[in-house]
Amino acid sequence: MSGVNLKTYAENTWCPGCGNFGILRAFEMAVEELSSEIPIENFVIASGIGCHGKIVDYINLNSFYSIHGRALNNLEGMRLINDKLVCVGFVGDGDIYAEGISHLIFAAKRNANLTAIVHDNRSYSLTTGQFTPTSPSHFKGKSTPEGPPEDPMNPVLLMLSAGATFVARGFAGDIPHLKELIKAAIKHKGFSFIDVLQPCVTFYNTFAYYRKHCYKLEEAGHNPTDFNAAVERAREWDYSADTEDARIPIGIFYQVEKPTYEERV
Amino acid sequence: MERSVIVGGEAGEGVKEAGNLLSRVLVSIGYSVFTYHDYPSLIRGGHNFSSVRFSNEEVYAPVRKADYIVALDDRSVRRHRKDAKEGTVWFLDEKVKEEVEGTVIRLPFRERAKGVMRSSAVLGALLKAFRIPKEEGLSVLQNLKNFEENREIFEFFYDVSQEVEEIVEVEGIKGEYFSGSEGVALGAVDGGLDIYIAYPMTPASPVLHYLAAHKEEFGIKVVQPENEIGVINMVLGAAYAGGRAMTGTSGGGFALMTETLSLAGMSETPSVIYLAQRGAPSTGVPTYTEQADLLFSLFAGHGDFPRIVVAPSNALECYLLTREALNLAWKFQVPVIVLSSKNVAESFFTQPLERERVVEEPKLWDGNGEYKRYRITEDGISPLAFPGTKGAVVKATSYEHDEMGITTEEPEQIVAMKNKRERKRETIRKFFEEREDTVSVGGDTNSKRILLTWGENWGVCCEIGEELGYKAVKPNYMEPFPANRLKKEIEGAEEVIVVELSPAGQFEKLLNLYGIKPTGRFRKYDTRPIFKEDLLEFLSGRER
Repeated sequence: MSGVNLKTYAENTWCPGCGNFGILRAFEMAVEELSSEIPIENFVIASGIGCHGKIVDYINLNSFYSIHGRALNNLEGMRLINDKLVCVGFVGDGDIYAEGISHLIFAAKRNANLTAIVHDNRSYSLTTGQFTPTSPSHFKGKSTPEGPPEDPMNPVLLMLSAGATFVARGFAGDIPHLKELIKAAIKHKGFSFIDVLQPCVTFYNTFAYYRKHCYKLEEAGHNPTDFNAAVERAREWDYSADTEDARIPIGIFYQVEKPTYEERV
Repeated sequence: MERSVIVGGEAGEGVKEAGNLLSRVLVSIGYSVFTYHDYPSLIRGGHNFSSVRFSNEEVYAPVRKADYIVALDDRSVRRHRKDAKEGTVWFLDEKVKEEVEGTVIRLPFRERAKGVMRSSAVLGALLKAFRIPKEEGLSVLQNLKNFEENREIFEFFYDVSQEVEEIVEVEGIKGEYFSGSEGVALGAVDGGLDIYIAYPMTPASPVLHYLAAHKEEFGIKVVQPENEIGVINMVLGAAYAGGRAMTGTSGGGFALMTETLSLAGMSETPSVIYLAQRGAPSTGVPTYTEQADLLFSLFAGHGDFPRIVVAPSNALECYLLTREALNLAWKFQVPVIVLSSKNVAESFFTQPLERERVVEEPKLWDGNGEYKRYRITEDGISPLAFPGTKGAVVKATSYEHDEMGITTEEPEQIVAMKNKRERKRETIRKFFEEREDTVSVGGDTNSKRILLTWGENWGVCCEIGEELGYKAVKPNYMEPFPANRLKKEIEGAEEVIVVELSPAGQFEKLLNLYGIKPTGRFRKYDTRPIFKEDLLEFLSGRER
């Protein structure tokens, strides 16, 4: 511990037991561990709008509390001015897979050197429970009492095809594992994407299910430099199945080095 | 001595280039030139024309009638027959079948020159007609990439064409020949631009192209993101990190940016948006002009927040006001809109351009105590610090916030922050209040008859004003609106005629808002600029 003070005086207003606490803790630990090599003033965090967005109020780092879906572009702009900045975007599944999907795809396509951490609770929760792009078709939300008339998208597969050079999935219920993923993502030179399965205790509590069905890629002999293997692993779970035989891989699907956007501009 | 030349042909055969080459030669021998480029939204075919108007006195507006018409095809003859005067000299391509009256010079433009290089053929023909020495043409042509090929074509047409009259070198007007777009680009650079971020949209794109072509020379970055929403958010990110960032777009793109315009207002992030109006609403008439985004630019974005809108009316004003826009954005930490329109953006003017880098330092954090991004201050402006600064935690936000930048929903804190932003609005208002340059006057400045206008109509109002005895008046800033100074300039007027390009009369509505009641109006909205003949005809019909 380097003793950096990452707390602010802001009152935390997440629901007790919210999956966001796991992401906050994992990130704080990652920053503490990285602070010996990265000056604390060089960190910039940004967020979109939703429960996840509040995280920037709770962390005593430079921050840009953006609007719905746009946080990654703010970070890309910063990096083009000052490439010493270590940029981490906290975004939501409704935020970046719906409102800001084009921005996510292009951040990956460009290989902008920043980290996107998606708080994927598969529900619009701050607006009291509507379906998002990763909600299963049996998600009975307030706007779709019978469930959405469409199937969820697979963001991991999407990011692989968009050209992201670091693609991972984490689970907010496994903080030590998530911390390592965040550290690896921040250290990765290029666009890093982590879809974090983040249960919403109020509108979509998936804690028990994820605990039972998640397995770690690094323990399964997965080679993250093999793109085809990454695609195969990404297709293992489609964000729809909630069956007993489902297997949900977490960890790094894919990692490769390519020139970054900032280097090429 | 004044002449005008129309060059007409298809897109892709050097019509615009011919207009610009001729203009550059004329400027180099002392003439004032105004060049209007008219082109439809297509890449090949169709009908383009350029109208080059030149004089030994200053010219700032387009005219319809031409003394010389170059027609590369039959369509050009049909389109411009009405623009001929008695005695107009026609240069026709050999294959043209349409008949015209008067002097005709037939030349093998299309047979002897391909594509854009026809511009050199047209130049050769015209310079010969004007008895302008060949060398004057060559010194302009030598800046072209494939000079040798162009020289050959130019000389061939110079040799085979005919002399008509002598256009002599004049003392008089010396200036740079440049477009509004180039003015905007150079103004931005001299205002300290670090990065230009834009998505293509006519008629704003020439700024993007110009800066992209010269980015190394200027030491700036130029990027083209996925859409206007991505663009404006990158602008804000760049500014948050301490870089002077700017974007450019037209109405539809600006519409997409408005959500983030409000974010710029709330987060107090300096940003500059160049808004080049086109024929609207919606996709409208993309390559033509209008002034119907005026009220949109003033009121776009949800919520109350201060902004500044500057409105250049020619290339030099584009330079000066864009350079100032960057400084204003950083001085007051607000979004600044440079509101132009196609006939300023893509027309070329002859004006003295003395470039000078003017980059004022914004109000910066002194490094003492705890840094608060939104520190409550008397003038409403909080000192800036940027991420990467030791000892400062810089928290910018879209939510209502306290001084640190932490979200608040407490009524007292909300009011305190809203009051801070309103005090900033007042600081901006005062900054402009005493300045004399917020309003321009021209034409017959002693007249009691007023032409009240803004933006691209300035040149035509000044010229007609001088000829018919009207005083031309225009605001150079639309927000804060210099209402008091305008009132002073029109005090005691017998008539006040509003001249604008909007069917609904947006400028007049704005004037009404500040208690200025015009007595007459000239509204043009065929999306073409106001040609001198248009305003002359309108006012002559009113003459008592």
